Amino acid sequence: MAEIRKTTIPGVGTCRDFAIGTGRRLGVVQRVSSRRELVVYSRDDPDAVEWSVDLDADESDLLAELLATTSLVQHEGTLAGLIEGLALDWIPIPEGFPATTIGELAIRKRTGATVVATTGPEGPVPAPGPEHRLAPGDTAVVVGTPEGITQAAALLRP
Amino acid sequence: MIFAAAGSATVLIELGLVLLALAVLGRVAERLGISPVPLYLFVGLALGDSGPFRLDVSSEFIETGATVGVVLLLFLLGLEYSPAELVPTLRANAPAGAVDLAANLLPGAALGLVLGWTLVEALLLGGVTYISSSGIVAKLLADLGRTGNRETPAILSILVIEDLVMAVYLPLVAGLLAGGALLATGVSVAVAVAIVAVIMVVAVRLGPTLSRWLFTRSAEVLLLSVLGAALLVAGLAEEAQVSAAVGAFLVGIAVSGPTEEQARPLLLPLRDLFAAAFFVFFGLEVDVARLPDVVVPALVLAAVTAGTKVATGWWAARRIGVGSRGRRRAGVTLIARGEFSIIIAELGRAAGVVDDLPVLAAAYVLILAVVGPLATRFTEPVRAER
Repeated sequence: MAEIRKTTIPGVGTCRDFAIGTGRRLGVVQRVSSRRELVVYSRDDPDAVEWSVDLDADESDLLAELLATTSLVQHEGTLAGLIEGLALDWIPIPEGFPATTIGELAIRKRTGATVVATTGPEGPVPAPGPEHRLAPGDTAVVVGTPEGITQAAALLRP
Repeated sequence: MIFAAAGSATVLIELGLVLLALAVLGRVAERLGISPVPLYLFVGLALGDSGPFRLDVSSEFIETGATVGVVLLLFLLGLEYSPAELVPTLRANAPAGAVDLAANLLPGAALGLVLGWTLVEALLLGGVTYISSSGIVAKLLADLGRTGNRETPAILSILVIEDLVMAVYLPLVAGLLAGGALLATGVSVAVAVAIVAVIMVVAVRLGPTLSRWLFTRSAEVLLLSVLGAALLVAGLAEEAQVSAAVGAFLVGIAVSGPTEEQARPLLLPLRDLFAAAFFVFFGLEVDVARLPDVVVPALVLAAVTAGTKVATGWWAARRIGVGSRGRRRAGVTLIARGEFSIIIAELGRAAGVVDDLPVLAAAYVLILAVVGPLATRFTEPVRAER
């Protein structure tokens, strides 16, 4: 993880920034109100903001959500609303279910539904491969037709 | 009755014309990327007794507006700050604040003495050259998208410290202007500074309580409560010889949280209106005929104190590890002088100091309120769109 530099800007708020892989610095100015400013520093003058965007509270949250790779946010309503007939469900793996890989279960082949992510004690896994093992205590996030999801849930019972 | 009606018609017509003239100039300022403050001053100069146009509106009418304008300017400035962040800022940047004070107050004071003015008058001119315009600088930083720049905390810390120094400077100068025997002056200055200290402590301690007490969901009632509190404390401070401006500033600091967030947008348009009245009023009262005589000293003073501000900003930015380009930006941004310099000059004018002081201050602000923003914009090539 890159080191975050925190600066207080009197009368404005705080700025937190860090260096990204290309050597540029990237930061967020948090105003005392809930407004945020996303800032990108110049390559040849690392003290100067080259480019910035003002965001209100909702826009900042939305951007944070889009950028997040390590946490899953449940939004069935939005997703199902986008494509008619598409459903998304969270299926907890019950106690007593023998740990099996997604490939062995052949969920996609047998139900048409796809496991797009899992969460569990070891943290969330986005887009797990066929070798990923599902075990009790995990939750599979499944996308498909409502029928497909019902069938997938049946496969995930002991 | 007819005369009264004619009178009010004249007032309305004249006010309307003046506001429209200010609006046109405000548009020009926006185009040029400079502050409208010097243009407002200019309108005042043109409308004054010795200027080309004369107003029938009584100057008491505009003066009342101007007084409210100063209170609102300072109150909204105070709103920007919360007690919690003032103390650490002050502690971390005290050396930069001290350098700023010495480098920029002394040239003005020195010129005052050279011109043969009294010590208080020299001290007033020192105040005029000392204080950068937080209004102009804040607008520049926002317009140029430099809020996140590394040198910005250095710039803003200097402005914060200058504003706090004013809280001591204004009552001190007010006490000296009131004059009298040395001992009496000393006592009244000490009392004034003590009152400021007490209000400051009270503001820090009771700020949240006061804010909660003033808060209401109704925008109308909130406007009336906050404005009422600001005017009342400003008036009481003036009565105690602390200067209304300082009282308003301290109430602004005390008000925080949701009260502050909701009151600010309500008061901003009022401030813009009354602050314009203040700048026009100051221009009105300046003796324009003296303007040609003060041009040379004003230019010299502007050149010297632009240089000392650049040096101050450069040094303050270097202290926090900013590179050479950022140091230059910090220095040049601080050049602009504006509303506070005029407030200080007006304090002197109202107390009847030497005539040249307000004229010189007006010329000085006219120069640096235009040069400062232009120089700031052109220190860097316009940012490339990528």
